[in-house]
Amino acid sequence: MYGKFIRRTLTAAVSVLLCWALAVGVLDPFFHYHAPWFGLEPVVDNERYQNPGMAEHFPYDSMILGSSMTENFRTGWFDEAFDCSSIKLPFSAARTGAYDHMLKKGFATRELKNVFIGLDSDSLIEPYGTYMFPLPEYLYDSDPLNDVEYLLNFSMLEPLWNLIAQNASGTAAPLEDAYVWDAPGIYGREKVISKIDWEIGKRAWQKDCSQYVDNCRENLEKNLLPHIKAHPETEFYIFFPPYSVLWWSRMENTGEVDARLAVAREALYLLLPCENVRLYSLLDFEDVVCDLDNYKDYNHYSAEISKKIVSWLQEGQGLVTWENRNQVLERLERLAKEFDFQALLEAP
Amino acid sequence: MFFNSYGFILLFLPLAVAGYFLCNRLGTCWGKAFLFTMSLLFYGLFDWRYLPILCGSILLNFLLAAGMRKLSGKGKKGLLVLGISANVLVLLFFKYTNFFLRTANSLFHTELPSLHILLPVGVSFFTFQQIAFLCDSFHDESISYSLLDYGLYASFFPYIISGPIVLHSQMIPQLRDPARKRFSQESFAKGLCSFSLGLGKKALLADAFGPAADWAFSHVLDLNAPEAWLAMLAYTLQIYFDFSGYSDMARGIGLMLNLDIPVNFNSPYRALSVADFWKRWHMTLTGFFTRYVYIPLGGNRKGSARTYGNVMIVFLLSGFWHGAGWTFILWGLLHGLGSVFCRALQGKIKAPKFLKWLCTFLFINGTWVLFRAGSVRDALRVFKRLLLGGLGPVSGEFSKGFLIEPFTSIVHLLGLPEGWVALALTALFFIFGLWASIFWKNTQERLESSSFGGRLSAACALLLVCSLLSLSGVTSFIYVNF
Repeated sequence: MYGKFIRRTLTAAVSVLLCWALAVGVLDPFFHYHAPWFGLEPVVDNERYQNPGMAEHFPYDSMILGSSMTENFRTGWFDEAFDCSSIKLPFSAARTGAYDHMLKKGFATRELKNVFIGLDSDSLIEPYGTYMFPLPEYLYDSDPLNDVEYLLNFSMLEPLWNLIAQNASGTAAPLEDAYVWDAPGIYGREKVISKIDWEIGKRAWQKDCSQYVDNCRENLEKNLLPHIKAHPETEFYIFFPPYSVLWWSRMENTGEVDARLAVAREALYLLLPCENVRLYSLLDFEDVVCDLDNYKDYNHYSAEISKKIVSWLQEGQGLVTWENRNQVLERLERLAKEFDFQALLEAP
Repeated sequence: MFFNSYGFILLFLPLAVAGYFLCNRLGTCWGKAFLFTMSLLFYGLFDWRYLPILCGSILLNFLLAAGMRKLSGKGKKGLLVLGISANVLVLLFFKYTNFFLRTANSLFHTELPSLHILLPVGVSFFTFQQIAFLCDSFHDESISYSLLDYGLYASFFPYIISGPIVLHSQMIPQLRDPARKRFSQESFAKGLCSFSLGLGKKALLADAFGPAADWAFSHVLDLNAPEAWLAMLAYTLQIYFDFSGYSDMARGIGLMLNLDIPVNFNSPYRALSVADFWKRWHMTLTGFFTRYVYIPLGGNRKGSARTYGNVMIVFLLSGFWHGAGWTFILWGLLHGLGSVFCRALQGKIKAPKFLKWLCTFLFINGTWVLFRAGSVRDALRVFKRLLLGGLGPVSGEFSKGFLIEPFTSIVHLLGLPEGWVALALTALFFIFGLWASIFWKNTQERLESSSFGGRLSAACALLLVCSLLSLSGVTSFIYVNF
């Protein structure tokens, strides 16, 4: 009786768990072990969980990194403009640590022709090693023992089902459409103004910049510069995304204008000496950033602007050089401190 | 490494069980040495810095007991006092220093800073076990164990973290018994069943009620009356399934090793009085306080007033033992008063069983609010919301914690309304939780009465599978636009 109970219970439990683990391991919806097998199209809908696997196992020679600012990019735009085969690996609320992870996985498995990075100010000011949303470490490290969190995980039911169902029905979206949040009717001046939740024109006491600058330095020195210096054959196209001019109003409200300008200066001075870095400041494109119809809130620009960014990168518009760095910084400072935000909101 | 973790279930436990019985074949000491090593490894994996504290405590108590065997009279008593004081001081220092500092700051308007003191896990349990050992050694000189036996008993991984409080007289004879060194199918089967049920209680039930209770107790000012009542009930069920689940797992591990660890819970929410509750809840703690505090103080042998006083001392100490905060002391005080009240009224008032149960259950629920609340003020706020919070819908934030896997995936795949499903699951969890904790056979009853047939086998296998698969999760971030 007892022996039978033990055998039945353990056999049943172990069998079910093994089958589950096998299904996850073979179908691998998060690409932790391989790109899709059996001719399946990948179903990509969870950045934090799928990006590391894509970085390691998918075919590409160029990488697109960034926050939600880069989610509307289409890889085809980059492929055509730069004659490459790119992959999009964005992270909502990205921190530079995520870029470090992706670059490590990319460079470990191939030579990279280009790396395109939308470098957000927020990603630079946060303390090194922190993330807005934690990463599932078991998918980022090379420890096979913690793979059990992937293989024996109820939450894999949905990705497994989506992978099978969307392939069976032929509805798996193209890879370049992954994470795109572009949709008709979400942009416009009225939409932006309705989301303003701070007092325009209110200037808070300016915060001390030193901690932000120190964090920026540490983030770049530990997460990006090592890859830039180790791979002189790879071209790094790094741009400050074109947030709307209202972003500076928000910074004015939180007392961070000087701090953010200091961070931009620090980033410039660290990145410009690298010969394989092409650095762009799109934050001071006034005809773009002052037109609120290009945005859905104070910083998220439209897919149309995203497409234009690719052209700008290719054509060298907004390129920051050692020679023009001071002018770029002066323009940013003028925009941040002298722009009449109230007039922008009151304009017809 | 807790019991409800992949590493423990898939690696540590199979290794411990297999290794123990294999080592026993080599010789009597090998199995014990293996278990002792595994116990130290288990403890050290929490934080290696705990090990010197544990080992130091074990060695000190062992040597004091050895010293007591050699001495008599005042010298022997001196060693006992020294030993009890040392154990209590260890507990006071690690667990209560900052509480004393906060209290001093509050009373004397000082600004003494809190200290960063490492709190060794299970310190409350292993100090109590060793105090019991010293007291017994004082009275009985025949108690004489090897360092290996004693060290294994004091550090044994199934109970060192969260109990039960096991007496040396309950465990060491078993460790020495040759009949228990062989694998037993009956014992292993019961252990597997107990472990599965305990793991299910912890991973599937306690961890579902936990987020709801956490949300409610961190938003006490926003609760309406239904939310306040559900919050109170959620914590009542969370703490029961969490603690009794862990005790079931501890007992299950012991049984797998052919060792009998005492039962710690006997359906406490069936209790018909506060005294009855404490005969069913954390039974080994009740046993410890009865034997080593209540009886030495005179128990009930010195008249009613002294009896009530002794009861109050026991419950105040119990409250203090449970946590370094005034809420715990008040909780203990209330249970003491409840216990005294029940004793005073015993036999004097006849009430229907249902009424006795309801009053007891409400009392237990109410006192759990104190136990859980961050402060006395927060607890009072919850009580106020219970009565004056007003009617209103239950917040989605409260119920979303019940939308666990695989229901979350099913909701997304079928496009079901998440809010409504979460509410439905909330109702189901509460109904099931109450029914299981009050009416269902508890683990011990099930072990004693089951025929260990196919249905129990299937249930245990299902619990093991579902529990293991729920230990990890996947979070979705859908275009939060940062």
